Amino acid sequence: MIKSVLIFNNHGKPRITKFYQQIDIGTQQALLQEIYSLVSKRPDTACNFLEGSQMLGGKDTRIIYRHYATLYFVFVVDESESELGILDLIQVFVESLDRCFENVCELDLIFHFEEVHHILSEVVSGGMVLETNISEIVSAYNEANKLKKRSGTIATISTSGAGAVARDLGANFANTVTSTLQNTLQTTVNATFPTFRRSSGFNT
Amino acid sequence: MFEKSLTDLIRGIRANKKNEQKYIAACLQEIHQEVKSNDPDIKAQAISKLTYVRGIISYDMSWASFHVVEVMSSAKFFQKHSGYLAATQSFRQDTDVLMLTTNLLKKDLASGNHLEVGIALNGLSHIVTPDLARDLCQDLVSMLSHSRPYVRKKVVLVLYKLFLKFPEALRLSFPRLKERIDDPDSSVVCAVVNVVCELARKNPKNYLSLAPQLFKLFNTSSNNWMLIKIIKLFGALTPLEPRLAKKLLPPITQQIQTTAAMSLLYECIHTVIIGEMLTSGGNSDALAAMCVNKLRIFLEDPDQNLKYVGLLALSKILPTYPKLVAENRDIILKCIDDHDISIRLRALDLVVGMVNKKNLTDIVKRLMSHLLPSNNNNDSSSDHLLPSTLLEPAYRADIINRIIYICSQNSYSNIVNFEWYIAVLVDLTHVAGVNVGDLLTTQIMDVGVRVKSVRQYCVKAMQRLLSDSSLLENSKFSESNAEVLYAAAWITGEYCSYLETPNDAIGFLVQPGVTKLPHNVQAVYIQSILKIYAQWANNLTYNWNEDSRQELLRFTEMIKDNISMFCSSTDLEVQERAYNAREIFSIIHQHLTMTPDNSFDVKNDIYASTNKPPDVISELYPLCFYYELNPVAPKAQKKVPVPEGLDLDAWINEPLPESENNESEEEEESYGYGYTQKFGGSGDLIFSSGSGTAIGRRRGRKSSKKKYDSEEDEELKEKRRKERNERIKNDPFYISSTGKDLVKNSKSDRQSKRITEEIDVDSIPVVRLTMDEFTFKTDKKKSKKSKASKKKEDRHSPPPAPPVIYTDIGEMPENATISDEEKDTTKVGYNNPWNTISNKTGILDVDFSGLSNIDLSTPLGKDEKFPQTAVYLAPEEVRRREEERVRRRIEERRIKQAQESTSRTKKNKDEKQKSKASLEITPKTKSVENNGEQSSKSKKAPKKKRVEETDDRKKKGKKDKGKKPKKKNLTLDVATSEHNNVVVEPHRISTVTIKTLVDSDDIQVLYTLRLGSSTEVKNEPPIMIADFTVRNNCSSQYPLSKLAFAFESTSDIQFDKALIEIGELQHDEQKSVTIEFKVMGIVGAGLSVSGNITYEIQSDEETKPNSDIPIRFELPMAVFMLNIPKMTPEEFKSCVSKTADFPFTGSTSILLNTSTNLIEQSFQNDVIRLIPMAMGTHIVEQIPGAITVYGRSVQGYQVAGLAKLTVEKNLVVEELEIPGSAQNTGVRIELKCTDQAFVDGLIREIDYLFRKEL
Repeated sequence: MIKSVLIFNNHGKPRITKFYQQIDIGTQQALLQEIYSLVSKRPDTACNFLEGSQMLGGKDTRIIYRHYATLYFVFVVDESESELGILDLIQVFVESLDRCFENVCELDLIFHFEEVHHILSEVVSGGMVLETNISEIVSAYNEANKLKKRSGTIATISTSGAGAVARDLGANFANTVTSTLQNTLQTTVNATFPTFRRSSGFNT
Repeated sequence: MFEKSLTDLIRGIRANKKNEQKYIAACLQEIHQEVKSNDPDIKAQAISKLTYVRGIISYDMSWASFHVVEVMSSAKFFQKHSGYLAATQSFRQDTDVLMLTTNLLKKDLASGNHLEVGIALNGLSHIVTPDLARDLCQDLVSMLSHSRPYVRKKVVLVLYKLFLKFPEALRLSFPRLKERIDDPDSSVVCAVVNVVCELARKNPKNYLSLAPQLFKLFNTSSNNWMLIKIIKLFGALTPLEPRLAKKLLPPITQQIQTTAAMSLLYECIHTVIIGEMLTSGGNSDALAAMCVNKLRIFLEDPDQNLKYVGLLALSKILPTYPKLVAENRDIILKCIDDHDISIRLRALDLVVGMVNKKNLTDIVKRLMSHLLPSNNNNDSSSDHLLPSTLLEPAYRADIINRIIYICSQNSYSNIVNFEWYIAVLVDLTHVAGVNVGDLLTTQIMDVGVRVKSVRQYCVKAMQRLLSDSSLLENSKFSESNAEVLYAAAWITGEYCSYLETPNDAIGFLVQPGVTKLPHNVQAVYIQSILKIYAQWANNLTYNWNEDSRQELLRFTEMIKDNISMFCSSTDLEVQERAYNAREIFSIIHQHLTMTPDNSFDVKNDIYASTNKPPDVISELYPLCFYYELNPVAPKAQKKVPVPEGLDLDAWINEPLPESENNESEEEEESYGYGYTQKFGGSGDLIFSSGSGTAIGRRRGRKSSKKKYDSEEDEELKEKRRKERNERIKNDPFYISSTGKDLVKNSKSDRQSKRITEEIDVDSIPVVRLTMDEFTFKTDKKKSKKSKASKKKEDRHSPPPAPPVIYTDIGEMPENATISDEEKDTTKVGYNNPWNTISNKTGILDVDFSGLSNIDLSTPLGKDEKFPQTAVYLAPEEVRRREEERVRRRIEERRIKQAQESTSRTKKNKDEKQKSKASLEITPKTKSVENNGEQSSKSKKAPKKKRVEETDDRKKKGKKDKGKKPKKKNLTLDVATSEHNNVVVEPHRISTVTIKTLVDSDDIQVLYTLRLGSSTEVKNEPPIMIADFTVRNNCSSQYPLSKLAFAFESTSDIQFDKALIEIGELQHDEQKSVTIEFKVMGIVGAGLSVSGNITYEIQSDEETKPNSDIPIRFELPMAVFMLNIPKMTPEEFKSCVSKTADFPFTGSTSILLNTSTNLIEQSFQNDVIRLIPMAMGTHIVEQIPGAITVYGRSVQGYQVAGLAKLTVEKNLVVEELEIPGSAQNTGVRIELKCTDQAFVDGLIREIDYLFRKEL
């Protein structure tokens, strides 16, 4: 079971925090800070499994993360999840974000936090993996987005406005993110996943 | 108004980086206002902003919960989405507004838009509470067959969350959930596997029945995500079912060999390991070797992630195949020095399991190097992050714990050189940098005491520690590990004979800084000073001269002065010991100074007197060193042999009567006092734990002390005890406890007497509490350490140090046999005893306790049903159900009674037939259906006709048993024909049923209901006729008199003539009466008629007083239906197609609990019979699995209905032939009507009837 999904940036600023168990917000914050302090010390060459959280505790609870340019994607899971599988799941999630936002960057996550939550809810539901097929995820998101736009003019204005801002403010930013994202895709992913891909089971 | 949009807020926050807090505070102020706005858009926007703020500054938004619910209920999709998001992020189990969401969720779950359903499901997965789970589980389960896979997969996952909160739902819905394994959509299947995988972690045996399906999936699916989950699931199942393991081996082996996906490969290997497949026989060694070889690929891979999981898997294989792991020692050792701390920690786990005598020193050296950054830089590949992780206190503590664990495991069996180990421990003290003082202290003490050969080295090392001023200076920091000085002081004190320079040692113990040490350490310091002094002074006495006297005097003075600094300690223990010691030293000092004074008087005796050291010195030595301290074997107490002839199971004493109990309890109390005393002081901490003797003696001492304190009681108790001893002296079942009692009672003036009385105890080879020992040592500190079981010879001469390197057994009681089982059976469990973190419960752990108790192997009981939302029932509905329940019970009782009294009822011809009709039919169908024409007949329903019907009924009943019915009545024959294909049923089953109104000891009343007119009566209340049949049932055969029916007219029901008088009724006589009434109320709202029956029983002797029985019966919907000519399917179609005529609809689903092959038959029999019966309609058309019905009520309401069988064939299940696999079969009934209340009433009655019948 996935216990938590956290996204924060290189400075430890939370972007998305999702806990599949109800714990009080102070603990949430403290846990995020602890994970940040541990994870930020690690070089990108280190493995993606984080040890040493004092707060988290729990038998067989694992912290699995990926670092994309300015963002850390952290999944806290228990033993019933496959370690390598979760790494792929993070990849699926990020690729879905990339497809939904067209070259995703940190600003997208800031200005569209509701949408990001929505995309996440299409990938993980109640702490369990719901869908791993990126096109399914993206189409579900797009469908909902259309409905949203139809259902309220305010939403359309605000989202398009935000989009414009995000592009203006963070043009380079977006570029760096995507480029590094591509890089990480190539480097880290190559290491583990092409095999996974080739075996054809991954996204069918 | 210009409210900030969410984007504005975010932009604002980003623009105000410098005073973000202030800006957010201002925004929150605005949000507070906006949230209360009447404009739903503004409210939704405010909630959206609030959710954002909550995410970035951990703001508690629980105050807005109500507004969140408001936004959740918004009709606009994007607002609903915001609302649900806010709820998932901020609601907790105790959020009070959650109870408001039940209906909202119900509505959203039933929404036609699957996206809305999706967000509701996602929201529910977060906020579900036990209440919500209970109220919604039925809705969710029915959604498992939703047309969209998008909804189905979400429902499946939400169900798991539901189970956690409401475990009962698991049993109720598991059959339905199981069916989804064969869902055509792979995501849904994946979700089911996911949920089952989670469930199986708690209680795997429940899910063994799924194994065939899973096995098939495993062999056919190519979805790696799902394969991984299935593999994990098998890992949980195989330990329970060895056959499954055998069956799985070939496909898993194949996967391991062929798969290109590393994650799948890893999970396969992992399952092979944890699924205990390696131990299940066969060529398991080859398999294990293959796994390890594959894992080696992981370890050698440059990708750190693979290395990590490889190590993880190896650690799982370690307990069973340590040799295979050892083959990879080179890589594992390399991993210890990996720059990545995660990998290092995993490698350490393995190393701990790999240690042996040969590599111990090497491994410890490697581990130690992690604590010394300077050395490490050379060893490992250059790494800028190394120092930071090395300085991590948790990591250092972990390393130290592991070092000590691997060295001390299995009673130090891996250590060859204990001097080396002591050196390691001392080094650790210096380099630890974290607080591990307690651990090190225990280790040093343990080794120092147990291993005699190392003592000399140990003492030397400890003296060095004592002299280390840096330890003293930093003692206030917990990382300094100044606690180790406790061990240092104790060992130097206890084994001071090894000291080369005792004076120096004492000097270290009394140096000024020591008062800063922890109190328990100071206490040991004082004790050690005494010991060392005693040893040293005693040595001096061997060649005693003036010099030594002077030296001793000077030294004593010094100690006496310095020890005063402990006297002002705030700790009582330290203070007490300090005063004690100072007193001793001043006595010695006095003696030393006295001696020369005396010698001045007698000049000639100078030498004589100085040659003789003061006695007090020679007495001090045995005080401290009379007995050697030896460790006691952990099982010593258990090993005390049972003396011959002693039966431990026999009563020693008959259970005493009440009065005597008081006394014995009183004595017990004094025992208790001794036991509960905490072991005082700190000198005796570790070695007393395993020894019963220490406790025993202490008990004696303590209780004696207590007695001493209460002198007055003593007299009384002594008297009582004597009385008791007298009483039990001759009791053969009682072993005289005189000896023991006296020991407890030891007061100095009685001791001599006691010793002589103690003979008995000696003969029992229990650890002895011998008196001589006791007298010798009372109140001497040292006595704690001596072991009572020591032999006498040992006691009197200091034992020569035996050439034991390592005493691994410890002291055993005499006569104890060292058997094989004695060998260390405590195998080191593989649950990381050194790792304190992993055993803690996690903050994100879920409470599964409810789920693990659910057993899915037993079939559902009758009383197990989905909980109905009873809370929301209208009062009349509650009443109605209650009545139904009561009526059902009465009915059952009546049937039983009827069966018993069959013989009684054959007297009167008329009556006989009548009763037969009711008796024979009721047991089978519970209600008698009449043929159609019946209801249209006149008021006087002729009994003859009824008999005929019952005959037909009987045949129908027989048909059910498989017999062919006689072709007497065409209509019935068609209905009951065995051909199950297209049948157009030409007859109409009417609804006149005979029901029981009263069935008491005296009287039985049956009734039927029918309409007063055979045509539509519009604009007028319908007239209803009730026919009653009354029978004297009186057991004593007395006639009934003054029999009368009285009915109550209400606003709904009006009687023209509310009273019917029947008069007298002989025994077994039967009379029929009829009454007419108008139905004024709304049909469909559950109308009922009530009244009462009064009568008297005339017995010979006396007339019993009036009996008054209240009666009450319902007016079922079907009664209001007219008997109209049958409609053709064409007419029906044209009639129904005009939807405007039927503006009101109703529908229901009924689950049929029959297996597949019987389902159609069941539909034929039950559904076709029951639906027209419940509705009073006739069947228009019948095709296999569906019927259409039509009817018209007396008020002119029209009802058209469609009932169809919904079966989902489950081919896979059939193939695998899993017994008891329930089918998703049911009947869906949809009605159209011209009146809302009427159709509602119909639906309710259909539901009720089916529940009752099926």
